[in-house]
Amino acid sequence: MDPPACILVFESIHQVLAAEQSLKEGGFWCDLLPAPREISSDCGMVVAVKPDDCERARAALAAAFRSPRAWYRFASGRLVT
Amino acid sequence: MTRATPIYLDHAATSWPKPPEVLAEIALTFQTLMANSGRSGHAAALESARRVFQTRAGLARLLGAARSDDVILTHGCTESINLVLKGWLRPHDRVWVSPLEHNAVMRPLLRLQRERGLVVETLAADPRGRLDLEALRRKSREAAPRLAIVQHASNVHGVVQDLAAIRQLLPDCPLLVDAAQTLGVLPLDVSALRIDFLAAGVHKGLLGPTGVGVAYLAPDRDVAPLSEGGTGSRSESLEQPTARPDRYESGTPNLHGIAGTLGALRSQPARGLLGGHKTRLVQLLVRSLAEIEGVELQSDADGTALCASFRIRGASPDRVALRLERQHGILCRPGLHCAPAAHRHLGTWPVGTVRMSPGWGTTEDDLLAAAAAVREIACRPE
Repeated sequence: MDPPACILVFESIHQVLAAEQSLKEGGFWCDLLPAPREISSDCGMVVAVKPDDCERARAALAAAFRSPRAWYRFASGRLVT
Repeated sequence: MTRATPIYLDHAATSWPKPPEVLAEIALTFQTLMANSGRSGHAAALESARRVFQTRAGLARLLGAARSDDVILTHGCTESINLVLKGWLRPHDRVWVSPLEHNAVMRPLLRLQRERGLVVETLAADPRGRLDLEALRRKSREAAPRLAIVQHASNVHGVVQDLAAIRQLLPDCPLLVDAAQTLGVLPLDVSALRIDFLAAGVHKGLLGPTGVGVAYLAPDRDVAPLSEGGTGSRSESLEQPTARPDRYESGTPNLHGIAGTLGALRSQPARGLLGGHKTRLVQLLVRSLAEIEGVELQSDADGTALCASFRIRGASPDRVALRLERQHGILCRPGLHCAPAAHRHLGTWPVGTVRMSPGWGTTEDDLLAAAAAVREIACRPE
């Protein structure tokens, strides 16, 4: 992904994998990445989705009771909330 | 030993043989890089985490759990029971138990009784230990206890409790089900039965490896963890994470055992639940044993038992088991089966019984050979 655009942070690796499963079942592209250093990650891995999918992906996760604990976007090379 | 391969009738202790999928998954964890699940961000750690995730999801499906987050992986059924008892019960709580409970329940309960002043009451049951549902109906008019504990099937003589009826009679009572003997054997649906807590190991009816257990904790039940430590999550905090399953899974998990469990789960749909197979075999065995002069049976032939327990008049169970092994190549378990409370209820304390428990791979010929061996011993008890 260039650049990793929307970063979803979860409480545990279990929740990361559950979110990945939900997103793939919903037809979203996603990738699991080591947590960017700027983020105080909860489990060392985060879920990245396409920037244009960010809102829809979060809504889909909320519907599946898998909302991320936090989420970030890249802007000017930096992660912002 | 009189046979090249013994007849293994100790499946209530642990299953053997294991399905090829179990061996293959465990071997794979040694043959390929098996990094620590959830501890790092590299591909090998992620692969381990995926195996753990798939295993947990498979167990959740098997148990009928709505969320896999509520399925906690432990090191065995005993640890799962300890987690619930020590994390849920408070000082001076009231607890109801069935009379057939294993020491995995009774020993921690006795300790908590001493340390926390619990009030433990044994529920009324028939001579075989099946809960007396009419007595339970009357008892249900009392204030609900903090916890009721029911062993789904007895490890001593295979009697199965009617969980649906018990839940109906105790609609508001938190319920712990010890499913050590029934995971992978009988249908379990924690959602439909509104079971609050369930404990089991994977190495018996599910045919998985030893060293892995499961604890189901209903989402609305706040249980304190049994231990705290590193989880790979919230590493910046000195506090234990509150999110499930991490809250209850400190330290490196038994990744080899969990991989074997995944193999067992993958092999299970083709095999199906073992209940029908075991019941048919036990019916045959009990009927055959019932015809032998001098045999006293503790299990019924009516299709309600998952194993057969018996004694031979004039012979101690340990001597019978020794002769079955040395003279006939039949492996079974004598004594109290870590369930002295059950034997007291059955009237077989303190000597116990001989338990024969068939399983996956046991044939009718095996059981007919076992019955013939018992007949020979019964003719000359000592």
